[in-house]
Amino acid sequence: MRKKIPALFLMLCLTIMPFAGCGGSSTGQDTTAPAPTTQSQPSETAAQEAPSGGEEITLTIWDWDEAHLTHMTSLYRETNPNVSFETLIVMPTDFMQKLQSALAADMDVPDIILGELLYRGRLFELGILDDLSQTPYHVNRDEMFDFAVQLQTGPNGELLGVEQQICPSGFAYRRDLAREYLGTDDPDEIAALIPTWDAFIEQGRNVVQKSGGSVHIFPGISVMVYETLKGQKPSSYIEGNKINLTERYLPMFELAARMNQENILGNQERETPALNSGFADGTFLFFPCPPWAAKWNIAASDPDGSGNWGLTKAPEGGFTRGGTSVSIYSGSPNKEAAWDYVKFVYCDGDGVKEAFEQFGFMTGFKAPYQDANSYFFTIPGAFDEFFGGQNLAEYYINEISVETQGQVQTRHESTIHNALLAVVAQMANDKSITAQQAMELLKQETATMIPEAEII
Amino acid sequence: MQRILNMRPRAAQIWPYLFCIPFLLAYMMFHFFPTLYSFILSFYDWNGIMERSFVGVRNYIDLFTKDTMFLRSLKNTAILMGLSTPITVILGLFLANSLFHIGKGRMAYQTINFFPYITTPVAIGFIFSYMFDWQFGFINQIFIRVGLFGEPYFWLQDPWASRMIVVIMIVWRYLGYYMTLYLAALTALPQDVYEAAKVDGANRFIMFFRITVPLLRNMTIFLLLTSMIGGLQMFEEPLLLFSGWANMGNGAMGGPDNAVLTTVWKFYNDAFRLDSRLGYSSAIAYSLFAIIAAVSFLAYRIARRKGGTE
Repeated sequence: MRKKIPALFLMLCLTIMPFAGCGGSSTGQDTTAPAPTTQSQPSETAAQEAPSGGEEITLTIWDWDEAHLTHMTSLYRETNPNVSFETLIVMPTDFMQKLQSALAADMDVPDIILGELLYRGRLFELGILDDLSQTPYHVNRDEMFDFAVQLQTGPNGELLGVEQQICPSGFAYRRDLAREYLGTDDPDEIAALIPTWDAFIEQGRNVVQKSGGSVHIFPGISVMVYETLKGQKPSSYIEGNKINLTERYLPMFELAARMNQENILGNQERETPALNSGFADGTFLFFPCPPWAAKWNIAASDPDGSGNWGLTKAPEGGFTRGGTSVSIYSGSPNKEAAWDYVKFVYCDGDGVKEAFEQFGFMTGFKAPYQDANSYFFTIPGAFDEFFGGQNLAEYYINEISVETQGQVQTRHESTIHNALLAVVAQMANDKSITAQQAMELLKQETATMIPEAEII
Repeated sequence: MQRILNMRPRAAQIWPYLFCIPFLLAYMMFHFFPTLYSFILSFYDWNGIMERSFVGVRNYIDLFTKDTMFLRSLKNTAILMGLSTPITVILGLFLANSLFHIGKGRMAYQTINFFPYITTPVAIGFIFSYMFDWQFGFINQIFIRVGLFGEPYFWLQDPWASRMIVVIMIVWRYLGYYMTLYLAALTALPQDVYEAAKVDGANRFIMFFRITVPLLRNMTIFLLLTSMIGGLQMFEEPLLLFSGWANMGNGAMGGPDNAVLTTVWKFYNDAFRLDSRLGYSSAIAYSLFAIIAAVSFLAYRIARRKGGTE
């Protein structure tokens, strides 16, 4: 037996290996991300044409929207040939882990860091992003939409990013279903039919009744709670470890439980094949739609639906859904070049117009929209035709954004999102869950995930 | 000259060591150092970027006294391992024994059974998510068509159904591997024992339980030990099942009521997915290591003792 102990010990040692090294290097878990590709390295000619004194700079950017990244970096290089880009396609679900590994190793950290809502709270609390209201950036908060400032605010009131594209949301709707069940496909007339959630529930009953249950007014409870109601009436309910969940979420659960029990929502829950096919099948009428969803949700899931979609306001005002922050890494050796690129693409440069025309991206800065003849309102956006020729930019800015507020993102906020999803999944499974029961479930889930929290 | 001659054997003795150096350096850099570093890290509070602070054994104390999710993850891991290990081992043994006596088509059956083991885990997660999908899953479609269900059942939002699905995934994936190892062991068994048993009038049933099973004891111990170690490290199957639409896009929650949140998944959440607590996560890793070490040692001792070798 004595001889066997070292062998047994060796075998046991091997069991620990998968867990080792979490603090040091990349663990190789990022199997989805392709190898980095250096894009459009500066040619000899380009280098000669570089502005006088322009030193050769390489900016590292990770993004998940390859088409946008490739197009915009190429466009930027036309006027800045001394800047080359090292780009890497990283999915939002892998972004934070990969970033942590790069930071811990202090190697290959991107100069420009994207923050999807999924992990933004955690990212902002890492203390690795520059305050853009300070030198050398001097971004003026007043020039941004209110919701954009709120969504980009860090734990100590810093402005840690700018909007990649704005995320105020309305309801996208299928025009054929709207005509059939609401009697009109005009955005303003539809908005007038659902000014409040009570009116929405009433219309929801009508849709179910008229369709015999084959069509619902909204896909499912998870889409309603997580993608819609959560982003509508934000408040400062987290102060350190004190979290007032009741104040923030009880009214929301009361509404959601009512909709669930009235049976006006479908069974097409978020991220499911049923939801994806529902766009084309016409099993639901409305879908929460920020500008980015026109591409990623609607057009992607209903490729033959061009012209059959419209955009209207949600009951009781706009809400935010998703969105991505664009920030500058505080340890970047190329901060000024990185900021110049960010300004060019996302703030006030020529890239803003290009991104709108090519991809439907809308900046979070107000200035371009203040002129009634702005290209945002006069040039058709990338998805206007898909939405039956509706001027989406005009509708988003003048009808929705003006009244939309954003939720400040913190580490606890990110965690509560996960807890909320767990509760919503249970509400989808059991429609009899009351608002109070949902509230208790949320408190339990949050307490389990944040043991140090004082939850009200 | 004499001195040079004396040195030759010494120089020759150095070469093996020189050849080992690249491996040893790689081992020290990529295995030994991270292992040691993670252990040291488990006594710190650190998010990977900020200044780290020494907290002594607080991470370990918090883990076992305050973190109910960790304790739940241990319980889940034990349940999943406890259900999947015996089923896989027993089925693997029966399947191998059946195939061993099949003449024609044995290779084909063997290959087919081995396919799941070489299937990409992501694909397995997708297959099972789709099979048990609430609205589109063909399991629900079958039950509805034969009239067992009136409406689709939300399998992946039921805690025990979710656990069972993870167990099915594990059994389906590893059965071919276990079967292959048992088949290899069966071919090495002495046939004269069976011939003698036949002469004595033993039937197949008796020969299987009285001869085959005892002679395969060493293989069974090996499979039990390795599957227990693997079971305690379970991560891929539940994560992949619930990373996509099965959890409504909530890849950080371990299924309904966290019913399939395993300890390694909990480690992954705390280190990368939900938080950046690298010190705390290292404490989880080392706690799990201690548990695996203790369980494996106990199981080994019990198995050897029952086998009468000590």
